Amino acid sequence: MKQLIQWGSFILVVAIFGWLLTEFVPDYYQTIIAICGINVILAVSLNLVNGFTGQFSMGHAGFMAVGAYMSATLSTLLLPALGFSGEMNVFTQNLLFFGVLIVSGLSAGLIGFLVGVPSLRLKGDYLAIVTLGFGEIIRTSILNIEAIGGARGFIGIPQWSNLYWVLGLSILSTVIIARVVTSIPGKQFMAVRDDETATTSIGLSTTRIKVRAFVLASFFAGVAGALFAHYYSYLNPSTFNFNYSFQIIAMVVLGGMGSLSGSVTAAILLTVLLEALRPLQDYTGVDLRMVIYSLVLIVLMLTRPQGIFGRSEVTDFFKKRRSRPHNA
Amino acid sequence: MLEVDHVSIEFGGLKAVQDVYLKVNDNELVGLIGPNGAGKTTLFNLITRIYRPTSGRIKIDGHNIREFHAFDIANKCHAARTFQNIRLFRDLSVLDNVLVASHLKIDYGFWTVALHTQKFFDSEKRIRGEAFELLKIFNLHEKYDELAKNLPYGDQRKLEIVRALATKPKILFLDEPAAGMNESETAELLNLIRFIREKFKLAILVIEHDMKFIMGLCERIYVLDHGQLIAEGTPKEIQNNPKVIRAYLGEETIT
Amino acid sequence: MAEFFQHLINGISLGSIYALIAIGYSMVYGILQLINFAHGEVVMLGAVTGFFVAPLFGRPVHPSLGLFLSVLLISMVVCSIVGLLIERIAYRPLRKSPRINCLITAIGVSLFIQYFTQLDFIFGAIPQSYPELIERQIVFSIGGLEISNLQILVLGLSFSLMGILEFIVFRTKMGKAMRAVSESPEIASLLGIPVNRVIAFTFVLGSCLAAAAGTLVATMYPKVDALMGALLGLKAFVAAVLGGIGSISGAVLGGLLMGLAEEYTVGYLSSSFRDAIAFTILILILLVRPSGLLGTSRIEKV
Repeated sequence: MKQLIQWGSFILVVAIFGWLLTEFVPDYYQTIIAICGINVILAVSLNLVNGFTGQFSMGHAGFMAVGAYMSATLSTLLLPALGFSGEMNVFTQNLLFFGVLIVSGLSAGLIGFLVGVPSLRLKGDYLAIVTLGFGEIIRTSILNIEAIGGARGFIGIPQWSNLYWVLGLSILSTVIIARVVTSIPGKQFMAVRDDETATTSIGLSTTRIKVRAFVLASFFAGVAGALFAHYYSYLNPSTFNFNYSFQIIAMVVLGGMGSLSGSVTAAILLTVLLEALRPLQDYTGVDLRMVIYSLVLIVLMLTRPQGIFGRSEVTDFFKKRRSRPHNA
Repeated sequence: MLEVDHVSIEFGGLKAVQDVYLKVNDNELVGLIGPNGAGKTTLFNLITRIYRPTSGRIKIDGHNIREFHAFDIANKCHAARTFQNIRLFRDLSVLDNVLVASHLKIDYGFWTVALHTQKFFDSEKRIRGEAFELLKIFNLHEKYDELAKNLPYGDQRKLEIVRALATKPKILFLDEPAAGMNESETAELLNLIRFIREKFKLAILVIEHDMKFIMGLCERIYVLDHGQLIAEGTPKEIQNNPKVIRAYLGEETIT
Repeated sequence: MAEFFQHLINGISLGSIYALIAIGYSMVYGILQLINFAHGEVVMLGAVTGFFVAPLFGRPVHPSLGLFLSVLLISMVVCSIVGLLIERIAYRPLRKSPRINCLITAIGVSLFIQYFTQLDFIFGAIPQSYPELIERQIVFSIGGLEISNLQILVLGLSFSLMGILEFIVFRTKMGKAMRAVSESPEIASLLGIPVNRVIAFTFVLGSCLAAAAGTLVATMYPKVDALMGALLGLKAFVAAVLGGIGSISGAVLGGLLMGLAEEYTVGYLSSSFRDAIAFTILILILLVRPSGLLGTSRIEKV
């Protein structure tokens, strides 16, 4: 019953807000909202690795790229070959898109597994550099596959994504990751962050836990990539360069490593702020976003390294002292 | 329960532990002493598979641990440990520290967590309840919500033991549990260790260099010096063993 | 056969530039356990300085060794100041913070310099050609094998700078202090070594080498752009890791190997793998022998 109410209200919220946004908000702002939603998914999922598990991945955009290109390949090349092309009814199209999202997420997760297993033995800055390297390798590989557009980019992806999907999936991703990190098994991520030797001593494989976090994060990055691909209907490998990974890191750090509320807030804040600064960017002719992102990070590290939220969540403010566990 | 069979380890030609034999039976309380630098912690790290011996064999609960991962020691051999310099999950709450260690009780997967099914609530409530009961035994339940790093020193030591117990061990390894404790705290710890053995019916191996503490606690004692076993016996035998006295002379006097 | 030796020569001259940069990474890592991500940007600024300074000696630029050395010297001064500023503003306040914070700051500084330089009123986003400081001549030619005066300059300058560095680190009081700080900053400061000054000096040394590398790269491949430091820095970093980070001789060895690997890959495989080879080497070395060729691994004490 509780499940039913939850799902019902979720669908209702997505339907109402999705409808309001699509009907009454100018197109330009709709696009910004869509980027916000996609960035929320990316930031929240990266936080699982960089914040909760205490690892440092710098290749998140690479996994997003895997999802984006996988989804585009499926919807633009594979499905038409199977006979699904041209006009189709809303139900079929969304059902197909759902399948595409899942498969894209899974393939990003698989690549995350293949990258994570060897590299998560490394720590700190070495792990950071290796994930950066893998991110670039993923991008260079895509660049060299002519069948998916290579350096020219992937064109003609159907515009299946919309604000309903973005809104729904950003909420769903955040809720799932929140449920994971607040569950008892989810505390293992934080245990690894706090002390790996102690985690091993109680019988947990730290590598397995790190890989789990990495795969889960990659899955959501892949989903975000698929949403992205079907929103813009065009993909270019250069979108998924190190700068994008860095922007996601900036969101996680600004919000607070280990706070999901922080990631959501910072993702929206930075996306909106930088869109607002776009006129300035046209004036100077340079990607000012990167100047600002980097300044934000430096100043933040020097003055408030824990970010906006630290490790606390919005829900903490509504909670008084938690009730005792045995009568919870 | 534990069988260390003629184990040696070398680090770059230096023999840190040499041909050591050691045995702990079920439900026995055994001490391992030796002056600083005698190789006690190295031996401990061998038993917990952090190091792999150059030669010899270690068996815990009937398993040869040679090919195990370090995390198998808790899972497959039912052996848990504490650390000389306390290693808690400092930024987790007291209860969470115990919950992480209760991972063997987790009987649900990703989907149960993601969908918050009824099974999720039932299982988590059960595991939380049991962890809380465990904290109650050690009188830490009032502080269940505090961060581990904010506990007083004595409570941190205690919590580390509780966390080890949460893995349901058959043998417990304590690495210098009395380090940094004053006299009254040490006395309390002595009772605590005895109590744990009775209550949880397990074997305990304690490393200490504080002789007095070990003498009052253990039934059998092994003495290590310069990486070699120099004596084995009851506290009384050890106390009168000339080799032990010689090893400890200048280090501290035996009382 | 001539081709093989040509690649060897090219590889060694490219590699010695990587070595100059790699030493900077290695020294800072040895002393602070920090990957100074901004180091590649200091290299870029070395080239950019030359771009602005060379015309000041008279337009049009008359190539001469004197001009080259003057430009080199000014670049070194500018880069030293930048290096000092980076250390003072971004790294020193974080000396006691978790390493991840320093890492984030370092990446921040690196990107900030990259994009700040791209602003129109600084340097701009468009690549510019570097003034010709020395006229390129073939000084040695045998059976298809060619050695230019620039290559000799690169080799001569790099190895004399490395020699000077070697002297400073192993023969002077400051060098002794540097080695002490890299062993243990706490003990060094107890012994009365001015740790902050030693660290600042390390940044100056690294930045001077970076300036030399920047000037040499721009002289060899006469193009300057604001993003050139990123890839150069990354490859040099890989070289430092390959040789064993924290070790100066390791950095030199790694740099040379890196240059050779790149040159032979381009020569015998394909130029599209030019940059991929760096990442491949990096990933392989970190997965197989994270301590590098000449490095020593440390076991965490339990």
